[in-house]
Amino acid sequence: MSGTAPDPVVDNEGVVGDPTIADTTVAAVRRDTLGEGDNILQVRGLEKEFAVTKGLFVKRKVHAVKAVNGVSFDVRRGETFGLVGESGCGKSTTARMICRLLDPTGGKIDFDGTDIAGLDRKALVPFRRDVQMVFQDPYSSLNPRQTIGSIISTPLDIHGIATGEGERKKKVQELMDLVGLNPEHYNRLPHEFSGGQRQRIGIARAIALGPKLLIADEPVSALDVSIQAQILNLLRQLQKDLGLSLLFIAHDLSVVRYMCDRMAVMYAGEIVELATSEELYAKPAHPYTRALLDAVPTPDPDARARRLAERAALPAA
Amino acid sequence: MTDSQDLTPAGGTTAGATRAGDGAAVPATDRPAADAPLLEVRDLSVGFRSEDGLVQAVGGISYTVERGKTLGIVGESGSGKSVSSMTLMGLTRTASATIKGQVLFEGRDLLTLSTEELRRIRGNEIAMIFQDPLSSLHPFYRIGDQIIEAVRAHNDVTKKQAKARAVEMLGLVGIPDPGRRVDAYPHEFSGGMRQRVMIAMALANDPKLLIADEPTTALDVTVQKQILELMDRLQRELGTAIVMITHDLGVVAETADDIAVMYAGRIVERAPVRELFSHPRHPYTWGLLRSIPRLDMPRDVELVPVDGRPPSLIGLGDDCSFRARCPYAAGCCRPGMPDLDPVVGAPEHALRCTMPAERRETIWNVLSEGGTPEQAAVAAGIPQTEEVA
Repeated sequence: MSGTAPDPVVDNEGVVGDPTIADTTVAAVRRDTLGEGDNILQVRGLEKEFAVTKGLFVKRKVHAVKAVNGVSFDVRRGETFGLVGESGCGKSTTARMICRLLDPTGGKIDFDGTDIAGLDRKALVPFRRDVQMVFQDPYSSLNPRQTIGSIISTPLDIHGIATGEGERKKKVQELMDLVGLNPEHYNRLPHEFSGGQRQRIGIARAIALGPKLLIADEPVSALDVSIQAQILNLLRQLQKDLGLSLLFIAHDLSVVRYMCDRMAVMYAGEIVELATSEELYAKPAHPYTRALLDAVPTPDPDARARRLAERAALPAA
Repeated sequence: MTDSQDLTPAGGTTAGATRAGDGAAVPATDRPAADAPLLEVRDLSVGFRSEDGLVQAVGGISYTVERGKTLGIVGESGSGKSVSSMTLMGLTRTASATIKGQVLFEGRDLLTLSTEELRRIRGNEIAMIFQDPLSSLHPFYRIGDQIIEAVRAHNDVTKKQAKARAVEMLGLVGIPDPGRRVDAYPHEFSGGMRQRVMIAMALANDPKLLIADEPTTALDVTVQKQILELMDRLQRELGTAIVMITHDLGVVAETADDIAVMYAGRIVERAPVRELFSHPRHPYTWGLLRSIPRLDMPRDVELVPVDGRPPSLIGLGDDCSFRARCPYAAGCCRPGMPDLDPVVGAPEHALRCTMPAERRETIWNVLSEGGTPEQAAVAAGIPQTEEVA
């Protein structure tokens, strides 16, 4: 469906002239084209509606919340694509739909040539090997009663890979080594590890099946500053070494810029701007993107003073 | 926080310290308020007994906060930044805690006050706001009633007067239609609005000092910006001094006058904000600065994480606690814990590291140009060992 996909939402004309916040529901500022290049993932007009119900036994739908409203983007093979936005903008819901942890209520998810939006549980099994997820909270995403070895080997068991005891242990220890964990810690429990190490365990589990697409939903927001960089660099390294495509979701704009080649800014369930990271930060076109960038505190007292001076010099809009 | 390092650590020489001994509440007007700092912490240490041994959460920290100024305390989890501030408020007075040192608030040592005396100060002269505004507000009570309770706990006013004060404060912190919203419950507010309510409550009694423990960590960046701007405005209008505790170097750069960087229960570097960001001097501070991605830096500058992780606070040795993670320790680090000494040529800048000044300069020059710690160490002529954390 490359190039010819119907696209209900996105304006391919390029930069929309001077959009205002009021336009956000219609105007997506987009500085690349859909359907071009070698895409591992094509998302078109993706929607998720959560019904708000009333009544104890007979549920009546009183109204619906559109958490994701017509989102379209591509993830190219081998690139890191970023989704950034504030809480409630629908970025995690989008990720969960792409993993099919949530069922979309509309739109298409074309993964490597197959539309997976409507597939049932059984038909999804092969797809699950190809798309894996790294979660935000390394404390609640690991079973506290399972050893590290068994956590990382669970996906292997499910898909019937490396079934022999010795073979499995070898595979798991390779993975542990790859993510910077000591393979001798195979039999330890999650509570014996720090937050950063737990996130490494989560990453080892996610790459165990050799996925084509890794979705990382706020993978560093629960970690300490000095540990964050370790995990970000690990993800960058793995992507390079394993040729992964990465969908990286975060609220922190500086982190997304560091990680991503291209990125989309989400607001109220829609993409309001999509561009390369360089372009987006150098010339933000949408007012929401500008507001978001402007709000990031800079660890440089002089930059703050400069910014205030620049703003004071601007004529009142 | 000027020159607390010049003061004799044991104290007891100022009028305030001797008076604090008898525990009498001294009215602020009695003392020479103009030159004494509002808050002076001297060699504060806090330890907790645990099953595994003594956890030395705070290992002897000293700082001062001037009236109307903001001190930023930066550190990672477990660095002792929250425990030290909670101790100021008497919130760590538990059976398992050992607290030493002095906390002089307008000359009175808060550590020697009785719980009843402390209660008169808490929420009145010193107020605190926390990270999570949802769990700091009582879900069953209207926010107005919670502010009224705080006002009436310290002032002999009628409920009606206290409510008028609550409405006034809610208006001041930018809650729209405060006259109506005063009767709303916490769940009816968004996260940012709840933090505004917390600030309104904290400032309702005109405190002289506000302790803000990660006040914006749970908030979105655009909301964070609003809250920081609000705190800045209120500080200018009301003259409140602020201790801003955070892990975010960006937040302190935007708000603080002075910054103290904490690591493993100690202050490792302390300087005025511009000085700290233009001439960071401690290897840990360098590590923090180089491990965060920044919008004002080219994208291809690699982040340099600080290898390893913070030490356990149980059985900390006598050596510099950052030594095990420090890429520049070889060849210049001496055994023993370095003191927090003023830097030669920059008396406002205090540092807990014994590295020679020239070497320090060489290393930071390399790091600030985007070099790696290895390149910096080579430039400074530090012998490289094949040690991978």
